[in-house]
Amino acid sequence: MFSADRELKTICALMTGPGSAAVAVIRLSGLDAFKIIQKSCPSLIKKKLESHKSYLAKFFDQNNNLIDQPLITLFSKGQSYTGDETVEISCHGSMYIVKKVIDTLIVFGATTAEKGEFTYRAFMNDKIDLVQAEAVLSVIQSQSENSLKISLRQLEGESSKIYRSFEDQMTWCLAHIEASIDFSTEGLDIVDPKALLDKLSTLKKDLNLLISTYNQGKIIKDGVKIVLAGQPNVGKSSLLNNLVLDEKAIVTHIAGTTRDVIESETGFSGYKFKISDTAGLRETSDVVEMIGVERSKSETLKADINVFIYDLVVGISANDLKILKGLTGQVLLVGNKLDQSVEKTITTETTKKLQEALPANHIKGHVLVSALDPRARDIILTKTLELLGTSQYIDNSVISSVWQHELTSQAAESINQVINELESGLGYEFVAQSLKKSLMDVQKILGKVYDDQILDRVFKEFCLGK
Amino acid sequence: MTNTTSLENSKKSHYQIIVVGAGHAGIEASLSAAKLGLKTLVVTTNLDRVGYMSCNPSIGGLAKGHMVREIDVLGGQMGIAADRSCIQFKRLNASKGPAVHGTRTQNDKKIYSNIQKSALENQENLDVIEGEVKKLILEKNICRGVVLQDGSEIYSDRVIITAGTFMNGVMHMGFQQTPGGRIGDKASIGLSDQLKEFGFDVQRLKTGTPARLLKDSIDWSKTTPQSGDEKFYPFSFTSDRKFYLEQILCYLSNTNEKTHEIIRQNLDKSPMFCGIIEGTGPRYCPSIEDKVTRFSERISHQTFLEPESLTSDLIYLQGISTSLPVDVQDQFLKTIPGLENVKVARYGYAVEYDYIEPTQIYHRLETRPITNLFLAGQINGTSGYEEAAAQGFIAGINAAFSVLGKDEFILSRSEAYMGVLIDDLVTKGTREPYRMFTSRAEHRLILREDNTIDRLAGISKKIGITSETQLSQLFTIKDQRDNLMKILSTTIFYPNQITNDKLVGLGSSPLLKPFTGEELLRRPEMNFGHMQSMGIDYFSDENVTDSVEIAVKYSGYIKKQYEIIEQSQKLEQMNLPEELNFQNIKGLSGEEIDKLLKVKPRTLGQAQRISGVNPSAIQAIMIYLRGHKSEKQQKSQISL
Repeated sequence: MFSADRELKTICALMTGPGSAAVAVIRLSGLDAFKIIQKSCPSLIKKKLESHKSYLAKFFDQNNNLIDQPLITLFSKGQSYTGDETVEISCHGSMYIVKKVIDTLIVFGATTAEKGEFTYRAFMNDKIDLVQAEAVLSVIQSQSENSLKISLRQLEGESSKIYRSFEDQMTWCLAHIEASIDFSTEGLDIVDPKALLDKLSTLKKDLNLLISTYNQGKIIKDGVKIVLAGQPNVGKSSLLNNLVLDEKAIVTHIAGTTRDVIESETGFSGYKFKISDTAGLRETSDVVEMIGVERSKSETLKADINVFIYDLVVGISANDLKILKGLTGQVLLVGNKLDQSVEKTITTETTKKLQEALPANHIKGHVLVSALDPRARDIILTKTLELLGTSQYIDNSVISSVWQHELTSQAAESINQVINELESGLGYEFVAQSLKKSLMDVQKILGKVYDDQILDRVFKEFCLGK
Repeated sequence: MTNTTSLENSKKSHYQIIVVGAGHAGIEASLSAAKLGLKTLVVTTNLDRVGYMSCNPSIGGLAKGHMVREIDVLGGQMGIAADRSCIQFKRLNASKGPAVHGTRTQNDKKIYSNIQKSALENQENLDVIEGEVKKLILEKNICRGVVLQDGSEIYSDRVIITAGTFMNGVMHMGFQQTPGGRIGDKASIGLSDQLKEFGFDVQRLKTGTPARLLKDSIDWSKTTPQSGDEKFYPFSFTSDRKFYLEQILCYLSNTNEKTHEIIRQNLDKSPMFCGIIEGTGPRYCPSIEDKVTRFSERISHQTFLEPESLTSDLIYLQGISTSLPVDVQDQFLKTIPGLENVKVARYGYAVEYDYIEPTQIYHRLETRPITNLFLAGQINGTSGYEEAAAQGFIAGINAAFSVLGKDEFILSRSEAYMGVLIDDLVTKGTREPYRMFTSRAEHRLILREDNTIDRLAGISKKIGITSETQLSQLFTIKDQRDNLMKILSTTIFYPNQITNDKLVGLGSSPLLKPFTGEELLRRPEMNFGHMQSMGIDYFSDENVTDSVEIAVKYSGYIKKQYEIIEQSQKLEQMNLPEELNFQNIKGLSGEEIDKLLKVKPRTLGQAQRISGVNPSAIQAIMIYLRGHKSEKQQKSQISL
């Protein structure tokens, strides 16, 4: 975490991306932010400074050389992103100017910010909770429409709201259990065991529903990972080029042309897709191809969906079945070269053969396409999204980080235990303990219970300037 | 041996400890100090009311019973008096888990009080006088003794105030107000004003008590008799395990809509409801006015009719405390079945009194502003005899230890309810009379009644007021338990025909692999009796076996509790330097700084428990401390 000697420092950093641009924005935040900007922009000294107002001012370095004429926007204490006094300097986007501006700020008493330090200060000043702090990161890193959508919702506190409602419900249950221990002599019927169990069952259901969104959240944030697998020369590379709308892979009629894993990205229906073309999986004596085949195998382990391609013209071969057997996870079968094939539908014989190779629960779908036909892209990507069950979750709150997923799962597990314990008639003080544990997990997610490790995990992923 | 001494003699002497008050806190404070060999004086306003039970005629209850046992193992007096004056015994929450069982005795008030009075009279190094302390003798911020109502001064090294509800006490009955801390006793005026002038934050609280009824005026046929438990688990390990006195019945009756109607119609005559009483009352022990208003949907509240003594006609009407005028009390009482023709011996009333906001005292119960001054009991904002006694004991030990130049004595939250009590008070303060609950203890599964001896025998020995014989009694029990635990964990049962037949015979299932005795006992259907028929050859008394059985059966949960509190334990071990200036720490809100400065937490764990101090503040303090440390290290490196 950030070291102690920093807390009184005024920090600054470039907020916009490095490299020449029309405008670059530098953020300055901390106790002396206004004082420092007045030193570099003397014209601000005489002005009455107001929050959320912009001022055009000449910016001079310590030797009184004019550097630029930036637009200065001020945010007073309590009304800024960090909660501290903050200044945003929009200067001309030359890296030379940016460097001179930052150097000057440092000479006048600022220090460069560390990664995520602005957001960390916002958390420390209670401007945002932990879930929101992490959402800031997600918003910055959003690479697709849906990813931005869920991140923004988290930032607005949607997810926090759900966790707070879990917290409320758990607290209600705990309060009733505790009261029935401590007030058992008062002759009050404090807790109705049935109502308690009902409430806990609903809680368990809601927690599990949220947990089930984790994979979706990951997909929305990180993109859908598709790995194309199959024998050499069944048309994987042609399909890749079609899917990413680009000539990424070299296509020849020579089997074994693709030697390595080629990864490419594309957007479809608001999602990011990461598609890997792999070396055709075959026995080979070529050393380079052999390495490629090994890499292909390990690549298929990382896939959200493996797309297994076979040649409709040739039909299912023993080799196809061998490759299929080696695949783990979900598989979408794609019969290629539909245009050249006599058979235009999936025969029961083919289905039977394929299902012998792979248990039915792995095979999630089966489509027939021509790799060169533009419609193939639509068919395959739509089918993939359908298989991952994505669409239904976009409007629900979604867990997108590992630590949230871990803690939520732990909380759900404890609630499950609470239910079992209540049903088995265990003493309330033990039930209370399991309940307390799940409550603590939820409070950790909200940052209400101090946990050093989680804070570290949230803030270490930040980029500079945020 | 000393006795109730003459005022003249006391004034001439110099005492090491003066205890102001001879209630439940004062008794424990003075006895523990005197037992440690310090010359101790108790000043009470009424020698006939030593150890008096001003309100309900019972000791213990949930969480409170735990504390009585703790006091007893450490060498205190309350459990002994409660056992020997017990006229009805109950183990509460018996149907719930073992960690929340609570022992409660109903007591003969006269006998209880007599036992306590003679305990003081028979204690070496201890004098008792009747008198009212008007003022403290202060030398700047150091307390040097007390000034009595006649102006005479008595000097001492330490003063412990256990004034109960007496400081500026006012009794309310309707609009009638009488100065006093209890019916028949005067208030003590002067002391809290002096503390206020010195800069203490002094606030008001209120409490109440129900009417006392005359036995013969009650139609008992309309009530339901309630008997106590037949089996006696005395508070004190030194007590016999059979009743000392004849056991009596209590009687259950109920209020009804008529009762509630009368109370509602007369709420404007209740000093609580028309703003005459400013002090906050105990939410957890509400008056009948409170109950009727707050639980308006309830058409009935239960009340127990409890005899106050084997030799008096007074019946305590549990659960119906009130400050309504006499005529209204008469009216509503008569609607309760059995009380149609009741005669009231003493009407219910509320008491309003001064207390010292307890964040102003250290864990050792010495005040921060005035050195050598200790406070214990209701003066610190608590309610209940047991809470008072627990503090009295700790204050007595610490006052004595500080005179003897010994380190302060503090029980942690994981060692005893007494530790929870004091840590809560000095960390969170209180705005209403503080009552102990099992839910206040995060180590609840470890802080059980049954293992009090295991938890505290070692500490009792260190304190040094428990006699040699009693210590050996304590350690015999502890050793036997340890021993039995060892036998259970080392005895192995193999899955052979004889063993499995026995198990099936006991309603359990056959073994498939070897089990230790401990593992076998952990099966839900097994108990220690079963283990004995399985051949665990250890026929000790249940005082030993009960506790071991619980420890074995719930070891999984106990372990989990340790895991849950592990994180906070780490914070507990991070000491905050006394000179730590919270104002210098960035990231703390003004409110947080105020609270931290007021409480001055000893550890980061304690800081975390202060309400209104957020986790981010804990983070900020930790970062500051880390930097502070490295700064210091750097400096020392340079100076080398």
